[in-house]
Amino acid sequence: MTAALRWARAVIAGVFAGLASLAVLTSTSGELEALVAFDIPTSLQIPALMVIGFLTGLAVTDLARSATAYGVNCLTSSMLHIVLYALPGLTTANYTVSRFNNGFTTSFFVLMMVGVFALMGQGAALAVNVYGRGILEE
Amino acid sequence: MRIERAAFAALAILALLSTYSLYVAAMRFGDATETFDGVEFELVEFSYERGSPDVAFVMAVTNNGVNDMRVTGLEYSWVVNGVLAGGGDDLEIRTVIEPGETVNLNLSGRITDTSYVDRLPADEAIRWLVRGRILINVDERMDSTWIGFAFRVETE
Repeated sequence: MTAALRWARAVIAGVFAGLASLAVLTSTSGELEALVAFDIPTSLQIPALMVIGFLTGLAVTDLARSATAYGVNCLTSSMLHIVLYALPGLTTANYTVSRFNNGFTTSFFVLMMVGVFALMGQGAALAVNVYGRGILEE
Repeated sequence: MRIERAAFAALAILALLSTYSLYVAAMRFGDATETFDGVEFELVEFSYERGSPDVAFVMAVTNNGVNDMRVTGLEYSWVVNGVLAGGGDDLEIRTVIEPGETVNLNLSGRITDTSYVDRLPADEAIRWLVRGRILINVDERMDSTWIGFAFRVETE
């Protein structure tokens, strides 16, 4: 696999992780919690974010690309969160600004949650990548 | 490499399921917002006779949205010539308005101080401001929301 493909794979992994993180947060908190197709218990919010971070860390092993995937994960989830909240406002006359404002404000919560807990998961994956391989090689 | 591929595939499956779930949420949210945004109120009839403490009015509620709209509460008050003069409520109401349908709600209330209205000049019209709020639910999965309304009307 060429370097360019590895970088592309890292970015795609980040986008996948961002979508999954956003679905977890949307299903467990906020205004849209009751509207999602798959119900996720609120108690699984943080573990699910950590698992997604862990999977990202396993999918992209080297540190620089893993960090890129992490950044893309954070940005994708928070940016899409704004879009998700603002989208109905684009078709209705009275709620455009308030919807966008609400989505923008709560996207900071998404950014923070994904930023903290996905990083924890990716840190665990890094430990597995470093020490787990050493143990397997022995 | 096998672990990397398995993790990448797991992320892809999660992303696919997540996209579907978010799409469904966005569509439901859009429909609920459209229904909420499209509700219309109109004062159809307002009746009051001088000296009486009773006030009656008919308000038409139109659902221009795409979801059924459940009305579960109403609170209203009236301002007579700039002075708050009573009102009423109906918190037992259970009306479902289907998309495109208009329902007339027959409402009534009382004036707290009829002597104030009696003191108004008989040859001048009484200027009313009917204001209130209505508790509606536009999606069973979401919480109900109050929407405010206000009408101006004059009586003899």
